[in-house]
Amino acid sequence: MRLSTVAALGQREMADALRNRWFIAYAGAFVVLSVALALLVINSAGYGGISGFGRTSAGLVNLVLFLAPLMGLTLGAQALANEREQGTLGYLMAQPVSFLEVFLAKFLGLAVAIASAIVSGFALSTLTINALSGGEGMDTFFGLTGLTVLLALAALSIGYLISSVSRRTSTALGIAIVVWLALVLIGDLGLMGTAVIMKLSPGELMGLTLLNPLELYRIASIFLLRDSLELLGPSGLVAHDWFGGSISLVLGALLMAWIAVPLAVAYRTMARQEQR
Amino acid sequence: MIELRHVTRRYGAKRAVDDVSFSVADGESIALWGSNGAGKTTLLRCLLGTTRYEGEITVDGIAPNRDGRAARQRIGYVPQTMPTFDLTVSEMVVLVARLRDADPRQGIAQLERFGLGHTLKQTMASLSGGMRQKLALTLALLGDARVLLLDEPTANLDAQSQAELITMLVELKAHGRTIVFTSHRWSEVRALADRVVTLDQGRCVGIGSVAETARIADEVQLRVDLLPETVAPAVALLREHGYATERHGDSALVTVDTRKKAEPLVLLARSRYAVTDFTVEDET
Repeated sequence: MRLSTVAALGQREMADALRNRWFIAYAGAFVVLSVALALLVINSAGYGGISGFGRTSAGLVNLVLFLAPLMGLTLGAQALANEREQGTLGYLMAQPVSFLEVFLAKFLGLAVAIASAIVSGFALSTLTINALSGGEGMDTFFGLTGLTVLLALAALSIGYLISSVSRRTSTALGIAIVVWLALVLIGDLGLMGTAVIMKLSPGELMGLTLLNPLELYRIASIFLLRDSLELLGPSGLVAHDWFGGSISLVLGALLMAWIAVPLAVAYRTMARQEQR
Repeated sequence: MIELRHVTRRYGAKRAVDDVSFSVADGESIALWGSNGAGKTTLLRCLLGTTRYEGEITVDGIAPNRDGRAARQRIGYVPQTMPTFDLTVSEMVVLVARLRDADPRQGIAQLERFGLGHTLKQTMASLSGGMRQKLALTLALLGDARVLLLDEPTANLDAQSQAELITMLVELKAHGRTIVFTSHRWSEVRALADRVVTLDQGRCVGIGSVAETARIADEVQLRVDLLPETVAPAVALLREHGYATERHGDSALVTVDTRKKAEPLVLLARSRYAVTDFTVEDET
């Protein structure tokens, strides 16, 4: 693999993302809402800013749970299907490049663009709070930024998988929205309903919860903010029993698996199709 | 030097390319001739190494299916229609130059020679079809690719742009580039090709000089413009009567004996298909 090729194509992908109206809308919404949330928290707490970062972080978790997966899924779903539909992928493949280089460059370019939008949102809200109420709780904020980037990249990876099996961009986008709804709403409410009907044990409930990257992010964030999972009730205690002091590592590794596995499957699927 | 030995490309039970063998000497220009579905584009993809194949292909001794990157480094590719990247012309030149380890200034200079120097800051989407194909040719020449593969490069161009592009290709051939191209137009084959490889349903049914390719010399392409809703049944009717016919938008492209050009028109008129216009594309 040639890094110069990956860099050239990755830069093009980032430039494309910055011109993509979807990306601009998501990034803009994320930055504006993050700052608005920070201001809201400061105002509600007064200028003393008690636990300013912690409260802002808690608010941001809920914002992120909606916006970051939507951003990753839809941008990822468009990425490959659109290139194939426009004929640009076929043209690139006629150049002295390998499919792995094109595939990775597209992912990395988009990943950097999304990560930059997230970091900008968090950084601006951090600066806002810092300027108005002091710099307490910064570690939490940095941790949450990292977690959010991981969640967005997991969603991007799932979006790539959707894109790899879709012939048309519109189909890929449709599937991405359905998957987003499933992860955000059905994943949460459905799991609660299933737990009640099937009388799941706390262990089974926690096991199923960990299959959803959004829930992974939620649990990791709660652990980051509270340093315990008591808030989750018996399931939280099960998680504590299972993973002990390595909860952060396990949750982080599971989120990374959500990035690596769909991406590997998408690559395998696309590489086969491209050789047809 | 390009060599193909018993090249076959299967899609399930169907053979898009079936046991094709021929070679192309350095500096030679070869036309791949045949109707739609004859296997011309698939054969170009085999040469690029972007699709699997059986048999053996070498481009300057390199097998595209084993070392696609090295093979494609020697090959410049011009598609039927240059896809639109969301980039300006100069950004596109820089991107492809980086992929081909070439100097972008070489591409800029080539664009100037092609009369496209003023388009550098324009987006690709704003270029006309002819300009886009000239850009595609510029990009194909980056890194001094010695072999040019062109997939019906003039198919979607107006007459003037067709003539300009063919003139450029003739000049490139005179400078020693090896050219493999597909075309539906006999005038292009006559202007550019040294030899013609005729494909039919994936099989190579003839290799010869342009003059020797008698089947082509006796035929012309008749473009018949029809009402949009009648194109599909009209094409089917012509095929039923033994005419090699392809659909191109709202037109039927009919291969017909030079002495019997009126016959398809008469057939369509008798079957009450309204012919809005017709053109003899290539008079030999």
